[in-house]
Amino acid sequence: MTSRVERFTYDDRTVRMFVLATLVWGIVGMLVGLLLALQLAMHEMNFGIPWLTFGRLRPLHTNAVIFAFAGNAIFAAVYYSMQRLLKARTFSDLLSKFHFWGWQLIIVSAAITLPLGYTQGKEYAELEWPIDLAIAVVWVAFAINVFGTIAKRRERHLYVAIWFYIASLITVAVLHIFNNLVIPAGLLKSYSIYAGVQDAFMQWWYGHNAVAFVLTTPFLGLMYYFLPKAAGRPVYSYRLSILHFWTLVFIYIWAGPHHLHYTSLPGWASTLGMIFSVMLWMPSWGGMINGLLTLRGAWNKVAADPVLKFFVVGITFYGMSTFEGPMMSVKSVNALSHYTDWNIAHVHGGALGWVGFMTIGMLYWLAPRIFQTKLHSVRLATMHFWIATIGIVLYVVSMWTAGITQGLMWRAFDETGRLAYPDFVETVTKLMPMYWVRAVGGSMYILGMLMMAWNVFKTWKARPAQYKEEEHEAPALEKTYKEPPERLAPLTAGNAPVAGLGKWLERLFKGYWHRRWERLPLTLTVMVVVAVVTASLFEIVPTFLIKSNVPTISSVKPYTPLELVGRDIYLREGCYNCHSQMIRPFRSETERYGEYSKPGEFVYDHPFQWGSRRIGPDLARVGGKYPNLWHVRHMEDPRSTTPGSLMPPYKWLLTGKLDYSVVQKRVDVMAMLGVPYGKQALSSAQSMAQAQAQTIAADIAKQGGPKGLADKEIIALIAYLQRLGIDIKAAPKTKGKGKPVASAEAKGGAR
Amino acid sequence: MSDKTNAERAAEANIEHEKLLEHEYDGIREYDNPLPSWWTGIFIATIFFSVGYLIWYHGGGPGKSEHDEYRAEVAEYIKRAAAAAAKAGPVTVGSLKKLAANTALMGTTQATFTKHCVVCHGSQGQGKIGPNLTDNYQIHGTTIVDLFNTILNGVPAKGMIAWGKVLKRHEVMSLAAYVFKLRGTNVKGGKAKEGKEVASAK
Repeated sequence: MTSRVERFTYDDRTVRMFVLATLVWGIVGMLVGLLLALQLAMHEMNFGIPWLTFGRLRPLHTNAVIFAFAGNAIFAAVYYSMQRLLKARTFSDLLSKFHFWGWQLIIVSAAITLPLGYTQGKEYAELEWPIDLAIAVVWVAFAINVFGTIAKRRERHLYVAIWFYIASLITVAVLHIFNNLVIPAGLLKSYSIYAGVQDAFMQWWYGHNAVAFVLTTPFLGLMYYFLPKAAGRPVYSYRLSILHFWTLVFIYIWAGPHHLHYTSLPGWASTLGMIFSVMLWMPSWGGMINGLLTLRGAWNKVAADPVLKFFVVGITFYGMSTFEGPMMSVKSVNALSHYTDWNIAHVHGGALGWVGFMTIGMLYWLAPRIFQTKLHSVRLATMHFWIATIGIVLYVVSMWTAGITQGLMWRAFDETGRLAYPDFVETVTKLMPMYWVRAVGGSMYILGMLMMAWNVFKTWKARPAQYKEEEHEAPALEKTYKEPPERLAPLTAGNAPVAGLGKWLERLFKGYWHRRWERLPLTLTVMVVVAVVTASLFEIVPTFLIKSNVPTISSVKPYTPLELVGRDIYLREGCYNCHSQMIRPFRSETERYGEYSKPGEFVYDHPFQWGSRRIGPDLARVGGKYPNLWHVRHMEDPRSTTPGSLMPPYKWLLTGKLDYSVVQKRVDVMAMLGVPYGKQALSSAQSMAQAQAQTIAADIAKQGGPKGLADKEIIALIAYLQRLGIDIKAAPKTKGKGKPVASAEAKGGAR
Repeated sequence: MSDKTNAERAAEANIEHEKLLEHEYDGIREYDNPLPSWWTGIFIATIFFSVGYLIWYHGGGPGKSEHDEYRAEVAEYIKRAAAAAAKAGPVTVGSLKKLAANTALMGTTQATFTKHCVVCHGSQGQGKIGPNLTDNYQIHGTTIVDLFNTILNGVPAKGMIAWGKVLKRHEVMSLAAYVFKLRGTNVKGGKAKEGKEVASAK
């Protein structure tokens, strides 16, 4: 090392800002979650105000905790640890500023647009296209900062935390771009370029990997830095790091379709989603093992240090969730758990336990360091730990109970083979006690967050008048690097092939090849891209190319112009947050909802609206089930038609004027996406919509309902609801054979 | 380091022989420990399971598709339901009228009516979204058995639900009798007549 020694400082200002943002958005996002929990326990908490209803706030909650709370926590972790692991100040302070303020602006715009009902209608990808573009720009700034810092590093090799950061950065970009491909139909309105089965596939390829590359890999990176730092112990196994990193990156990508078991997604894709989830179990646990076993010899510290307490329980929840996940992806388990609160239990075990506790642990560890003083109160932090832990347990156990209860009630038959609980609402009112327990658990968790905010605030108050900028020294990297010799056991069999294989295997398991990659960031990044893209294409290409995946049904026609804008209202109100549109092939479902859903029924659904949770009943075949007047009464006051319902009233739909001026534009955009609209719809969609509205309004008036609804939003929504699932009933039922349409795809396009 | 117990010191002694790798990042070191054998074992087992599962269901194995399983489930039910219906015997005017005469049964049936029917037919059957049940007019058929069938199978085109999917057969029978008894009570403010005139229940 003859290189000259360089002096440099680290930028902790950016870290302090991201820490503050993490705290603020964490509390905001969780408070919204608490309001949602209370809305399920008592519908009055919707307050009859459009932007406070469950359907509009639930996307705000998920986006806030994923992208604002976890997002800012990730950035704080990366900006703090990256500089130190690479012995270099962040590439550009200006870009750091741009990154910080850009990201906060995106969050604020999300907090405004989502409650107002501007949404793409796809879970965790609700934000409309201008915001999506802003996310892409800010993400690029982040990427330049990370790779720029790597380029000027003074540490030859990249530590495992950095691998995880790189994988997250790259993959999130790919996911974000390809799931958000839309055609704008206005400044804050767009339609997904994919439809039905394909849109569902893309969405859950994105959705699952958002869990993977936003909520898992960055936090593993965080763990690999902050845990050994806090414990003062070496990491348990370098080789395990290598193997679980690569298997995780490669296998995670395949698992998305497990969100679509028993849906209209072809069986082969669903199977791939399941088996890759099962294979994901050990790669996930690799992270847990490396975390927990790093604490060997430091358990005495865990007893005294709240930071380590949070880490230990966080990692334990990670282990639990990553066992539960593969289990729920097994089809027969999923048949019970899908659409129920079991999912809610699962994600909150991960979010509150793993993501939350790792973040909290990091914040308590960082606070005294970035504010250069002592933590205000260790006792308060320890109290926070216990309150939050009990809160999580109450939350998760109550939602497990609720989920399994409801799942069993849905499928229960009486001795004559009929549904034991044919009234959907019976399976909802049963859950009320559990919803209250959940609200209590969530409140405890938030109480803990507030205690932490106070603790961090008091710590900040005790900061020095001027922050000390510590100077560090390290030699610059030499231009050339000589690989140290590989220390392999001597093989004496000369060049015999057996010895060759042995040597190859030993090289593989000793990880020397990987040691090379670690000093070649470009190679490492390219290999991550190769792993992620290859795995994706294996599923995406057949989903889009194999015709038999989506057998056409000739009687399925595009929505009328009025139904289309009605569907937009369905999206705006976030109905998909509580209602699925996907009947699975079980008798307990077809008895309740009608014939199971066929892939060909969704070919004009941009975006798809299959949903993921049934807080209310499935709507795939609600068309024609009730008279128009029933829908009016139901929207006005759900409990007048369904006693015990917890749906908020939608009175404003009865008074809100329907904007007919947008109809033509929306039909045109749909036509651009390949929806076969006829000449009339392409030239006079507005008058078509008005004529259909007149008919429906007249029918409602004739049945004794309110008059003069023809220009109101509710008419469009009713038109849409009455259309759902009825096309397939029109003769001719199928192309060719008289058998149900699904038979063509029953055996799947596996070959 | 004086706060360590003996057990902890022993645990550390256990670790000390493990080989530390030379590299170090911001003070973080790593052990060169091998993969835990149970970890490798389970990982390989899940891979074998996955390959087997794929072949079983999609590679020419005996696994049935979910749609075939569904068809089997339905076929089984249809067989059972047919047997049960044959055992119960046909529903006749006589059997239904006998139920209508059973005052105690009609009392309990009122609860069923309130729970499911008043939403559309009004609190006393005077008609709301659905038709008036208290006048002497019937839309579908003329007899009490027609009432039974209307309730059982519904009138999907008009929004009347097929209650046979929700209620048990004997409940639908009691309801038909109950609705039959409403006929001719002509509740005030009822919906206008629809359908054909039929004889009053009295």
